[in-house]
Amino acid sequence: MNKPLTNSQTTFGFISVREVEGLGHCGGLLIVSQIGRPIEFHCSAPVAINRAQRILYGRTYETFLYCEQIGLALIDEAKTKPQLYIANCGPMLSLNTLIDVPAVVLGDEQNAEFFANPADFGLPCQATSFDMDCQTLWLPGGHLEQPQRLKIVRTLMEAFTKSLPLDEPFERIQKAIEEAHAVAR
Amino acid sequence: MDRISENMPRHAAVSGPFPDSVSVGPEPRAGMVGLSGSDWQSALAPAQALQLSSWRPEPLNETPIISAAFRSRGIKTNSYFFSDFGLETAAKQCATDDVRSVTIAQPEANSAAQPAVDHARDMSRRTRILPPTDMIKLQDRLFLMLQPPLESLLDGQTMEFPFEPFPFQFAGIAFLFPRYNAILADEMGLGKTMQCITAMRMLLRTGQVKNILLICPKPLVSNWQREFQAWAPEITVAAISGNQTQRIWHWQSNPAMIKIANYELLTRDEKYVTADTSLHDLVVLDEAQRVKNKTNATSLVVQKIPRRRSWALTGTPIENGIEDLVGICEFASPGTVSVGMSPREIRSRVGDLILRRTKDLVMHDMPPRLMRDAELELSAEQWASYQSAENDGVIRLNSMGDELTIKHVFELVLRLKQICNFDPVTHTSSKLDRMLADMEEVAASGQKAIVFSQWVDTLEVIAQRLPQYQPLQYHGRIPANQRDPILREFKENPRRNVLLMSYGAGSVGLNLQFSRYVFLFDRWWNPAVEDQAINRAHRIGAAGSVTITRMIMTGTIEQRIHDILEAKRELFREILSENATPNKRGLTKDEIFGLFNLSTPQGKIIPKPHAA
Repeated sequence: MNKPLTNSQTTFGFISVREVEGLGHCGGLLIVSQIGRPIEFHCSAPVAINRAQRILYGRTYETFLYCEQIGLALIDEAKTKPQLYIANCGPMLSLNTLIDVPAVVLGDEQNAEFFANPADFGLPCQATSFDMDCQTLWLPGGHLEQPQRLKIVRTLMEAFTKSLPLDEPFERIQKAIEEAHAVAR
Repeated sequence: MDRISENMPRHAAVSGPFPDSVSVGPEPRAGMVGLSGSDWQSALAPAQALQLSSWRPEPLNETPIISAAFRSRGIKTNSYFFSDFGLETAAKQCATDDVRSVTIAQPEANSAAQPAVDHARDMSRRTRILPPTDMIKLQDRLFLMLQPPLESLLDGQTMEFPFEPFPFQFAGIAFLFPRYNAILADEMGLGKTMQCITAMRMLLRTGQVKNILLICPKPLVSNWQREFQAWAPEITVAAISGNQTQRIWHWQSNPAMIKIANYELLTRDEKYVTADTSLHDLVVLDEAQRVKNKTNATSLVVQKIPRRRSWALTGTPIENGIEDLVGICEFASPGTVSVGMSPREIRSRVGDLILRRTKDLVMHDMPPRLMRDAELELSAEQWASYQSAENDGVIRLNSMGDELTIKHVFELVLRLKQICNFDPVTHTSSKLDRMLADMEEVAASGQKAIVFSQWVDTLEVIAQRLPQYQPLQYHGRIPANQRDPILREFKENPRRNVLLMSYGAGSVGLNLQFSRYVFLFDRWWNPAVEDQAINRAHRIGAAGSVTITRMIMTGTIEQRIHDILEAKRELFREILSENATPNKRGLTKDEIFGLFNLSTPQGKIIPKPHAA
């Protein structure tokens, strides 16, 4: 992060995991350029959680599955290393404990329960939110740590095109996962 | 029992699958340790690992242990890597030294319907590039699906436009861009030209195509050049023209990215345009209904042009019958459909090939099109001439018996229609009297009017009778090099209120949306051609309502033709909206014979087949 960012260097990783009915949890990682064009796409095969696992992991199973299992598997496959990961699932804030690249989570209604009590879901740190371009993003850490991290994230996100809302690439991921699985079937 | 080590890289520590086993027993009591790491991570305060060195479990002599083993498995992933799409960088490569620098045209005063590009656009609008159904490779499909919405790709950071396209135009671009075979069949006036140019521009910029051949009717070549200048000024365009030596140079050596050829020269230059060495990455047919007859000379040449992609543009994919669509498909997607197929089968086969939108469907904010049928009565002189001609003609036709052909009937129809325009002896005309009255209003309000007729002779008579309005003429007798100046004069000179056009020369491809009045002095046989004529004025950019006056002489052949055409128009409207079976739109032989209720003592005359 010490090097000055230039447009040609900046890439962003949009990462998402969703449960697909009848299949399990599917993850997708879309690495895009600063204007949102795809550079790489990685998707996981569906991962089914059985009843015993749900009981044993309790409310933390999502954090474990989304980050340690699916998230890292996808990130491992990437040849391009993004400067910032943006997720749309609350539990994926835990990626910050696993990789050395910032990961922020887009706040939406689906994540409301998670961010109300992140510790219940196994997040090993606090979470705080900030607004940028009319969208709410969540960062790991408490208010004491936020200014420095906020600066890093804001600097990175300034490079991302203003013509795309941050939730847009997740639509692409969702469609691409559906397409890939449709072909696989 | 250590699961996370202080010294172990955090990534590596958790990269495995689910744990192999979990033991149910006493919980360890753990101490907390800090972690070293990057600036980003060091800000994460909470504990990460267990400190187990001082902890010793209690003996478990009597405690039963239950183990639940989880099968270990890795997460299978699929990866796709995409080469540079190139939109933001290719512009420089695309432009060559002899291309002038990019300038953005200013919106015209009468083009309020298309607001200037506003970068603070509605970000909720997202037009996706969807892969065609015949695209097989998943990698290719994902490449298209994972592109950002067109609104973002074309938002001015990478490609600039004089006006912001409408949402349906984005959809049209998204339709054309990924397709190797496509028919864009939007109703006239919805901007097929702009959609096609933008899709071509994207393909050129992304390096997916390098050379394009555009084929259009001769009068539209300069129109296309103007449109390229407005919508894609960095693209080099060359119109193929001149003597044979010059044309050969164009075909073989001109480095322009886009070559524009007209249909008329294709047959002359067949040898060059169909040569294996002149492979085009994309061939576009404008007004593709010109190849609806797949066996005519032009169609045969077009079908033989070596090409990778085939696009057809037409506002009337079905002008007379299903055969028209089959003819166009013979170019756009050879073998997809054939004449013997049922309409249902054709519809299913061309579903992904054709995109058609009508103004009613997409242009909710278009100015209204006011249709006004001027039902007039013939002057006394016209009526006398008309009755005489009709009676004599019908008697003659009846007397021909088995020798009667549709050509004979057609000749009578034309004769009567001409009398409806002007009395052949005195040149009196109820239509012209009415139009003179209307023109006073048009001119007084500073507006402009286009008058359409089937005959150039009629237009010339009208011109003589309207000297006070200095009418301009645009038809087949006007040399091609004089036509553009005429249109410019009509547009720019406020004292030029009237443009007299023939259906043949002026019904397609021209943008005359600054005209608020259209007069159909006589009626064409085919509603599609009339619609095309009307849509010269009623199209995107129209400044206000467009009033169309259809001159119909009551109690005459015109009234009968009008009734039939209206019934057909209604039927076709129903067909298009419901995607039902397309039917004939022009007059059938029976309908033409029925105009005069021809019969003999032996019964209804059965006409011999004859090309009308």
